[in-house]
Amino acid sequence: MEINIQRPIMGSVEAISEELNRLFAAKKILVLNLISSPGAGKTTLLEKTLSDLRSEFRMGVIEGDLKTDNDARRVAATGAAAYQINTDGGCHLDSKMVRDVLNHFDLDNLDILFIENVGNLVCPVEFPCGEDYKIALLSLPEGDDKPEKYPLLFNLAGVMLLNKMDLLPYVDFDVERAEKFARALNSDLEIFRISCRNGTGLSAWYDWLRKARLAKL
Amino acid sequence: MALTASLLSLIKEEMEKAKAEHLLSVRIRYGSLSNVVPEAMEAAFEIQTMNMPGLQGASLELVEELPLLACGKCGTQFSSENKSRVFKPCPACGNELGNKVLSGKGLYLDRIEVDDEIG
Repeated sequence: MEINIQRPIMGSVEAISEELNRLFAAKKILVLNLISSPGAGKTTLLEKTLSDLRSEFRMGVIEGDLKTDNDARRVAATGAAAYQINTDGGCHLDSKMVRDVLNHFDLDNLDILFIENVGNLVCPVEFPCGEDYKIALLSLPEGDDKPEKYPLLFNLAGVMLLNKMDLLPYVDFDVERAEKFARALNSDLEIFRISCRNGTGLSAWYDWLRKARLAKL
Repeated sequence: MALTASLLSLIKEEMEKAKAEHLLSVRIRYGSLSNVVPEAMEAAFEIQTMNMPGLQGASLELVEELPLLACGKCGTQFSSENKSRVFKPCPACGNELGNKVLSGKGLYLDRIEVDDEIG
């Protein structure tokens, strides 16, 4: 007997993600899902952002890592609320895992929630976490062909941050090429060239955060 | 691995609904832009069903769907011929940037074939 089904395989994760979207809309919290390769600088970007904007926003971070709570301790040092999810080998976070740890946050006193996904350009893209935007972080040493090789992330992301711009003189990275491919399939993509090390471009990223948060009010 | 686990729980749910005991085959459709690696999914499916009564030995068929794009300038709809060349300029006006992806990102359980009894 054949049974025709036609159901999305990620159905339950998507349904929970939509439930989270409604919750975060009601609480007026901007939620950003930060995705990159390991070592692109997600945690450093968060440390900078959390400490530079601490007087402006109440911020929280959900950290996803295979092991250790090193990252949660790093971001908690800025004074932000942080909770670590250890996926114990799992390659991504999903909406269920995020829902299960929300009781560790005071949602009535939160403006922006960052979800620092597991370092991986593939799996985290497939699993929505209730975010408003996916933020793709790409660092120069990784190579300018990443948007071409991993089109789904750059297609779904709201923002692409090109990090470690201070290394441009030392690496063969064609910024125009990376931006061109990222934009080819995503006309709405916002791109910022930044360096967390010397502060280049961060003010434009902060302005984007202010605008996105304002849109939730 | 994780995608396959979601797939299996969906299959079990559908089998219960149909009161079916034995799974013969599964067909899924995936877009070229989804991050499905067919070989990896086949291997994961085989390993995960190995010790599942009623599911072991079922065959898995993966059907790829090429992405459908719409030109950001003139609106012409076109498809890319293969997955390694999704960044194709519009065939009508040559526009390269800002083309919209209409489909080709999804992953669907298309149909299953089952038996009432474990044969």
